[in-house]
Amino acid sequence: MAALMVDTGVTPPAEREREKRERFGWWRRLPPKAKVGALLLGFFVLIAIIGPTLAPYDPSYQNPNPSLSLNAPSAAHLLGTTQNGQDVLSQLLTGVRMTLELALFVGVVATVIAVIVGISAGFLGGMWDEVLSLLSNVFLVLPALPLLVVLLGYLPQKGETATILVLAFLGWPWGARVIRAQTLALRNRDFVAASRETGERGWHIIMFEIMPNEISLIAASFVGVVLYAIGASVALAFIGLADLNTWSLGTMLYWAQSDQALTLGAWWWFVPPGLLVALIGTGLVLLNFGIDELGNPRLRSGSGTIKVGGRWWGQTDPTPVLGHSQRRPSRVAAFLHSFSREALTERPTEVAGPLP
Amino acid sequence: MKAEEIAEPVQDGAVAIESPAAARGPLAMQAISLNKDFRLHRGEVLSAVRDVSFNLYRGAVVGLVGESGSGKSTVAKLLAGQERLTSGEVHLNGHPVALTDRRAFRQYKSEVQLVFQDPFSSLNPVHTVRYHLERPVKLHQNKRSKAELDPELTALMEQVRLTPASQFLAKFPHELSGGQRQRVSFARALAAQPSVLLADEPVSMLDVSIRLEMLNLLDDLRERFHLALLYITHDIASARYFSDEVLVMYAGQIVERGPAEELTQEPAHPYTQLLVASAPDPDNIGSILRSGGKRAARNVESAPRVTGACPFNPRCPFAQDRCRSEDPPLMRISSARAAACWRLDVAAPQLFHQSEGGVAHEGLGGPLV
Amino acid sequence: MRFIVRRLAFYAVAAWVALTINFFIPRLMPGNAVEDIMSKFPSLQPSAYKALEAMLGVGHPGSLWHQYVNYLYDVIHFNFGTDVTEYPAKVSALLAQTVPWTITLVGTATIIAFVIGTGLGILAGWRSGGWLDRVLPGLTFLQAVPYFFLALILIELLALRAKIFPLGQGYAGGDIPGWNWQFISSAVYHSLLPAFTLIITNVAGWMLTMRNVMITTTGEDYVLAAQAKGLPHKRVVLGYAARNAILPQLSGFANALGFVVSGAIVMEIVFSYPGVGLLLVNAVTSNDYPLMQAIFLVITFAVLFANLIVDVVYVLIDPRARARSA
Repeated sequence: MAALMVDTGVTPPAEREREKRERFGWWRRLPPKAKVGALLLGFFVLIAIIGPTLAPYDPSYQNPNPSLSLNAPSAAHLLGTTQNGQDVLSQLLTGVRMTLELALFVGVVATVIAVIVGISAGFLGGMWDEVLSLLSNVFLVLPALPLLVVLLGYLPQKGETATILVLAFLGWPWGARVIRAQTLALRNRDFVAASRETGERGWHIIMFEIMPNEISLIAASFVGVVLYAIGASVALAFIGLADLNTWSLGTMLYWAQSDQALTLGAWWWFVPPGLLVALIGTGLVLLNFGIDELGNPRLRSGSGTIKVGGRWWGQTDPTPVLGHSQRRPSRVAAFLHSFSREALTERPTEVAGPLP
Repeated sequence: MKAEEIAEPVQDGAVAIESPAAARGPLAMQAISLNKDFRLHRGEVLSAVRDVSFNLYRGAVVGLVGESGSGKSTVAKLLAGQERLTSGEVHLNGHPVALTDRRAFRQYKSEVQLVFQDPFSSLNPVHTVRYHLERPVKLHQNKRSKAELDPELTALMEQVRLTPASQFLAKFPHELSGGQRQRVSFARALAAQPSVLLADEPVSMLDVSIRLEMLNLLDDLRERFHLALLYITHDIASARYFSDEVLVMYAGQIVERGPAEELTQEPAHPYTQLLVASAPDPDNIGSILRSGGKRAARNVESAPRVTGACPFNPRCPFAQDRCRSEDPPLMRISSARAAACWRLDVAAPQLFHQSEGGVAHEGLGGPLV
Repeated sequence: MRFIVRRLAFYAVAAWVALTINFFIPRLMPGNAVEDIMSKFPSLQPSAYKALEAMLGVGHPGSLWHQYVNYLYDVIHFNFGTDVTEYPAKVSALLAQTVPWTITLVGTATIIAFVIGTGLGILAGWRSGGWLDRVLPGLTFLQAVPYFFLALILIELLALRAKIFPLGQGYAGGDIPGWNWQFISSAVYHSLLPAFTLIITNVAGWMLTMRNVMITTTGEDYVLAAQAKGLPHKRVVLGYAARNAILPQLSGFANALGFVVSGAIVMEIVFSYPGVGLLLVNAVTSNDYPLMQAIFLVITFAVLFANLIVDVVYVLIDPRARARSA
């Protein structure tokens, strides 16, 4: 029976306005932690992209002038120079790209493996599940750094591709376990059976019914792997198991250490790369917290906690007898408060001014 | 006189009993001696479905009534092809069904569709209503292009009374109410243009106030598309309202069957009597109590199922030794009714007044236990 | 008991995988490893070359299966061969020297960090929305700082400038190792700063996970029931919530054991501490393959063994597991 009326497809202006606001509302609804993390990371990604072009000097250029060796920060060299007269700032700007690039590739490779293994194990079940789970668990229990050290130790050149592969080789089991658990839970949901009823094939069910429901989990897993990759690659480089001819944050630290930067008081050489690693790591962790909290409402504030009489009461606590009124918090307090758990589910007060 | 003399055991399953549903249309599906066993962890075997047989006719509704754990959902899954039979056969339009490969399964799905109970989990939260309907239309009706799909989708939405169609098609499941979601489930099943619709407790998880509306919708769809409908529920009152024939299941077996009205007005099997007595019915409040009939015990802790005994005997007020040692087969009470009970003469004496020309029943069965 | 046996079987499989990886890696690596070694250490005797060739699978010393069996045999007998850098010292002797240092320092520091972190986590979960929540972003940052970075800064501040702690090493240069007071006190003194850095970097992690587990646990009904009974808050938190939260925390501890080892390696490099980690890195940089392999195996087995111990403790603590495994 054909439809008698045809939809014109024109939405009234009010609808369109609402739709536009809805599309960007997701940014506002992110927990504050995730926002901070995302901004931090965005900053570093920007540096990774434009850093090398911004660098005032060639990071490898060793200035033969002895008076320029190990200089404190100055106008000419904003972050000072190394033992060999190299500009620290340039090294830093180039190094961020290398480190992030490596970590990102590891993240992609390891996450792809984790998704394939996790979803297969969860969906296929039975023998597949047992075998794949055993594999993941074995790799989880083997200590990572010694194995990485040994694997890289045997390689004559420790190039980028080799490092990526080695790191990814040990980085996938975590994500695979988590994804497998989620897939197992989803597999028994009615809509999966319903899509079988419709006559969908296994492939289609996995790709279009199950996986879209796991996006946030896959994202969190990806971020986790990137975090691990950064930490591991920096640690390996520090030990000396990296391509020491390229500039990454880890190799900078290696050279700083081997040239006794700290003992000689050249903090400007040693502190910035480590600090940047810490900041990148913090950004990633915060972002992950945010993604986690979006998925697990429990980890958000015990919804509805209020402070009465100097104590914090949760929803499951006995009803407090209200003694005195609440004082309005100052702006700084409110900002700090936004980091805490309760802020997530409290009713937002009227905010004047433009939205972020 | 033993029970068999009053009621004859039904030999051939569904065939020997006349079904009121047969009047509505041709035979669509036959379930013949369905059996399903599940193997549990420690080697135990759970017989979820035992020797279940019935027919579905186009344009008719067969109600399958039972409590949780009675096996009714398993029957639905067996008929839908979601579970494999341990033994027994299913015939569709006269041909035995053999789901050997994917193509056979796809074709079967074009004829037989299952609607799920839970409107909140049977729709994928990440997809729109449009997606949910497009898939079966693409797969079963072979329509690909937008020009072909849109009118079909709009038609489906109108059939389940979700209009304006364009507005609803763009929505996500979490934006719909339970009733609306269940309508989408109906539409999804209809998109495959089936001849048999298996509805597994379609209204149980909906608000009571809209259940009637939904059942009326189902009825409307049944009539419009001449569907053979299997209506599975735990609520015997709605089964009476909606079905032509009712089958009562307990512990995996059919314990009574017959025309909906007759069966609920004068239930023969003690379990059916319990169901009817428990159903809220303003016309009938207290009638069972007033008649002084015995009611079944409250749900006793389920003892491990013993084969070779009537499964209802722990709760049955009429149980005797024979009930504990022999599993009663379905026995014909009239041309369209049957029940599986050794104590029918005691449980439903009024049904046997006219049989065998008024033979005296003294000395039969003894005093009520 | 059945559970423990199953875990044992699992660890056996993991150990076998580690052994096999160890066996295959040198054979898969490009280049001729033996020639590299020969050029670096010309003073080795021919028997050492042969042993190396056998280990690296060069020169066809028998079928692969044959080599594999010999390899396993050697491992079981703790015969790791002779070392290359400190020839002719045996690898197992070197290991015996260094392993105790690592275990004492790292083991103690890890346990202390775990206890303190868990305690702080309980405090954080004590009240919903306590002061620790404010500190959360700061703790996150602390966790993200690379260990060695923090360690080096602390060395700079506390050892170089303030001279409170020694710069590194396991003990003062002039002391003779032995069971004398001078040596022991020196060893302890030298272990303070490394232990301190290890503890600081690890505490944050334990605290965060314990806090999260506490949150989930305090949301359970039995905690609510305890509160409704009128039990004092301290009793509810410690006796009900914390006691149950400890279990997943323990599992987390088991999972993290691998990372503990990683931290140990880096720490020993930074502090030049004479432990297994330092030995491994030196072996790698000097391409001392026999030593590398042996250390890897020892570390892996130690981690597996520690995991097993945690499993046993878990079974002892969790009454449900006890019932299940009985």
